Amino acid sequence: MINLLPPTARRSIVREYWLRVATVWMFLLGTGCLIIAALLLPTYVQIHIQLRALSESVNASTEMITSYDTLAQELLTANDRAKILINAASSTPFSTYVNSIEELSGQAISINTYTFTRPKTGEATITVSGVARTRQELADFKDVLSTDGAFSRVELPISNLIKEKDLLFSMQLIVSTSTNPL
Amino acid sequence: MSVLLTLEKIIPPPSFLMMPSTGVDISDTSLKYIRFAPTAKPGAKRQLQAWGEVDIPDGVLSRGSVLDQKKLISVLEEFKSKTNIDHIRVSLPEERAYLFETEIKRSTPAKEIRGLLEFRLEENVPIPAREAFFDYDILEDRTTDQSLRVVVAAYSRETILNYYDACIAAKLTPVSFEVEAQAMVRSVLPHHAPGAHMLVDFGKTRTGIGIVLGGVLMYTSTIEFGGNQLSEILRKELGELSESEITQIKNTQGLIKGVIDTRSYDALISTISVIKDEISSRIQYWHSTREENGVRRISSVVLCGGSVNLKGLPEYLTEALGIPTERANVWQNAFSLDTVIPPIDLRHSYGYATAIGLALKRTV
Repeated sequence: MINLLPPTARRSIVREYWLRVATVWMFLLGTGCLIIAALLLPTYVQIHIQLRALSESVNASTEMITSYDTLAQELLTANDRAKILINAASSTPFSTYVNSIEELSGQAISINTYTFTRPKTGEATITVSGVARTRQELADFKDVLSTDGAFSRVELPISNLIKEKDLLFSMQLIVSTSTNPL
Repeated sequence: MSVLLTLEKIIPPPSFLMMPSTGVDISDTSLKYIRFAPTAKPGAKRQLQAWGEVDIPDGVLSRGSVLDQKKLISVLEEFKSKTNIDHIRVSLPEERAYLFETEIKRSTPAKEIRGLLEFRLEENVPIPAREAFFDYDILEDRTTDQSLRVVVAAYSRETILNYYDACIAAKLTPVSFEVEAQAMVRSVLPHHAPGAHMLVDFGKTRTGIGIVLGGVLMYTSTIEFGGNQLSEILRKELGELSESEITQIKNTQGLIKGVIDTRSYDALISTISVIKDEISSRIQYWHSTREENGVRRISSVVLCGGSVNLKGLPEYLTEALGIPTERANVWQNAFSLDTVIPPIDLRHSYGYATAIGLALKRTV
């Protein structure tokens, strides 16, 4: 179509036309985006609500897990303590051994110290130190203790028997596992 | 193309995009304007939104030349204040137009066509190429494998700038300038009307003649004779009558010979025959140019213009020229008269043919 506008004016009109085209496209694009946003709004709201609910649930679960961990730790501690208590309940009290030793020692043996050792694993030992009037009486005392069922073994170093009278001794009594003292 | 047109009917582009503009037909005596607006009315694509006429005082324009630009600006300002519009499509006087048809090689790159035509301009137009503004249209129907037929319209730079500057000064933005007759084609002939047709714009001061081939204006000419001259002749014959009485006589008696009083007929027929002869000579000239299997033969004459209501004129020209002649239906491409009744009556509508054609234009 013939258009006799001056060339500069024609270029200006063509520019305005394309500006309008761009404006219309931008408007359509904007409208499309608005429509899509409006259509997606319920979905967004629902997802947002679900996320919040899930987040709350995760927080609650985390708190519960922390609580469970604490409880589990406490339970383990309690278990350990219970084990100790159970062990203590099943072991023979140390006083029983002391009484028994005192009974078996008689008048000739004077016991000064008792040392009780109970390792976590292995056999419990009682170290008894004192003074014996004669070598024979000390040997008898050792034999009596060896025959007593409370001790599985009695160790008396031979050096303790060097003197004839007033012998200082220190013997080690290995407690029988069936009657492990506390 | 038809697919795009169908698509456009289904999804019409927004009017903002189409740069809605008003058709403004500036003649020596008046400025006529027409503006269409889309309508949702069933069966109608558009409706008339604004129309009117602003008188142009004598001495502002003469045969299309701007004599007093300040007064033309004030006329355009008056039009602007009446309508409050920005974008206009303006017709340029065909008296100042230069049209020629030429042929270029089909292989010519589109970018080079304008440069090539600038050289042809020197050969066909009596103004230097640097002093002219021109544009062209490719005649698709008449393009062959080897050549492109091109019609070129040119105006002197001064003529176009006078109109353009006046529009800008009146704060109006011209979207297009085109030859008056080309705008008229859009309103008075069906779209893509095949064959050759002659348009006769019978105005107050002059008669414009355009020859259209395949919907493209190929030739224009002006006869310095219009309705005002007929009125003067009638006044001489019948005595001093008012303009409305003269118009009444022209529209009711015109070229129909009365039984008792034949004075008006005698006065008019001798004058109209001058116009007929002028038209006939142009038809002969057109027919004498290259013949293309009869396609160039004028198949109809279409009359429009403010003075075309002269009774018996189409019948007279049909008889005298031997070519079917009829008054135009200026609304045929705007809307169907079965669905829309235009507020401008039939007699006045002929004068708006150019403005309607301008308002119908949709491309930049």
